[in-house]
Amino acid sequence: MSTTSSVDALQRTLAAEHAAIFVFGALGGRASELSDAPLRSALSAAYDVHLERRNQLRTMVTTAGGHPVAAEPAYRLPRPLTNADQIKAEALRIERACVTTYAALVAASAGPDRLWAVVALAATAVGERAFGGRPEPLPGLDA
Amino acid sequence: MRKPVREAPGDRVAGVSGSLLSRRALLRLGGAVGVLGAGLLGGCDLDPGSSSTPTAVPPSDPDQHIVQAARAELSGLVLRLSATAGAGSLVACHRVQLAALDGDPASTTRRGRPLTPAQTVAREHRAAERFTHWAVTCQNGDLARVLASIAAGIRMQPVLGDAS
Repeated sequence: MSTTSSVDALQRTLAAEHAAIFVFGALGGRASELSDAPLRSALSAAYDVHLERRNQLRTMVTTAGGHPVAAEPAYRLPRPLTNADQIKAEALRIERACVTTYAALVAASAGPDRLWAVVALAATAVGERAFGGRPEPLPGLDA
Repeated sequence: MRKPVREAPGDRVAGVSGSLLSRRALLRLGGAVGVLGAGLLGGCDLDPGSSSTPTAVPPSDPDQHIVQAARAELSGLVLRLSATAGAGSLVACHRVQLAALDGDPASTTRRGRPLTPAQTVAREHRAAERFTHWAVTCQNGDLARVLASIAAGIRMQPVLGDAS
């Protein structure tokens, strides 16, 4: 039986995935006019990863006895997002926020859910390099 | 007991970030409370009639062996990497991680044998896998978060990224 706090943490992570999917979709659209093929590829890959995690989290929330939270109608995007550097910076911000969210889920969960969060944390932290992220000793931890 | 989550208005992604407590505070709360609590229990006597036969059993920290092993892993890496050319950034990384576990700063005077590049990659891989395992198996959630972060921090280092 999952605790209320673990279900809440799963729901918060799911909400973060909804937001990430929205933002990466928008960033991909913005990047489609740029000639930066590696960036477009990285955005597409990140979108796919978050989509898959969103689906997994919906199942995890349901299994834990919760009703998966829905996405918001829209999410606020920073302006402007007209060049590769701006798009990379926003992508990196989203990935870092997700890393912090996964770390919170690690703390609030156990068993398979925690394993999922540990793996997602590491994969997303490593993936930050595609958007200009630099190695950190303790990704996802608030100072 | 889980920590409060701060939500930033208008930003659902940022709003799902973690706690407001520092990791050191969390570790002290989570890991040291058992030891501290044991000392307090041993020194208090709530029932004067039973003072000659103390029955309080110090609660053991179920994660103590993991914390000790994690500190030893990082200390060992710092020791060996300190003697390894070009490993300065890795040493700095592991020192920060060791401090997050409230580990004693690794000695700057003692030096282990230097590692070859292949050995460095192997040791870092092994450490990342161990920290991942410890993060999944420890009981304290806040400790798990720190261990998972350390595992991710090791995997982020260029020495592993370049090797993969």
